[in-house]
Amino acid sequence: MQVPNAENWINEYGDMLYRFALQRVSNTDAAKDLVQETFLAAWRNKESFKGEASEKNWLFAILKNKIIDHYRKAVNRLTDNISESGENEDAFYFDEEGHWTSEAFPRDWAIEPSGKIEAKEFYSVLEKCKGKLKEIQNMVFSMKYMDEMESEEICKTLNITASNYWVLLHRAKVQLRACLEKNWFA
Amino acid sequence: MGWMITCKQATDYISRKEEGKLSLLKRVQLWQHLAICNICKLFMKQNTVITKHVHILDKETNASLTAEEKKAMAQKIVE
Repeated sequence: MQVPNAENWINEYGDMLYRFALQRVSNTDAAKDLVQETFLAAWRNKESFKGEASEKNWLFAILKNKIIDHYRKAVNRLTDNISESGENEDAFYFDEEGHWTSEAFPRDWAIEPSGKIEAKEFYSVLEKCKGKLKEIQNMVFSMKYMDEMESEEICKTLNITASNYWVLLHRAKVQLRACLEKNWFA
Repeated sequence: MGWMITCKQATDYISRKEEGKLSLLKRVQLWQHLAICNICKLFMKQNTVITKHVHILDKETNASLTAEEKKAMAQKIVE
């Protein structure tokens, strides 16, 4: 590998890495820090880069590790009990018998479910709604549906129990759905 | 009735089923619930819409770093 010029390097890969990070941590400052750390680590180890992977894949591999570290730290910071701390949110969506509440039951979106939504604005609404999730909900949701990890792997990585995982995923989905309905499909 | 599952359970089962993590009994309970509950059926469809589009979110967003931020990053690297 030729010794890259730091600025060219960042101009070429910076935005790509930033977008990837931002989708997964939903906090612009944290995403920028992760990108900075990625470039720093890559720069320090550039001699060890053998060119076996593409430069781009190599940078993404570093970033993915940094994101996992970020996730782990976030989980360690949690002081609340995961399943108890969302019970109030649950009560907005489901009544005591476990039925949808009259405020929160899904309405028909009147779209073809197999089609792809082309409108750019839809994706910024989706991004915003996803960003409104609690950090830990967003984490499990991103790992599952953006990075296609299996639940066991996610639990192991974050050191959470399977039952906590399913509770978090469920809450993420219910809230994301409601937010999209309110801000896009209504 | 102990056999019937609630909407809260059904929506949770939908996620577990995606991963093949649902026992036969629970699959039958889910199927039975969806047969009579149009709201959860809607939820299931919308869940598919959401997960499919989240998957391509990386490609569809255009957040970017400013030129100044990039310059500052480069400076920190070579320091």
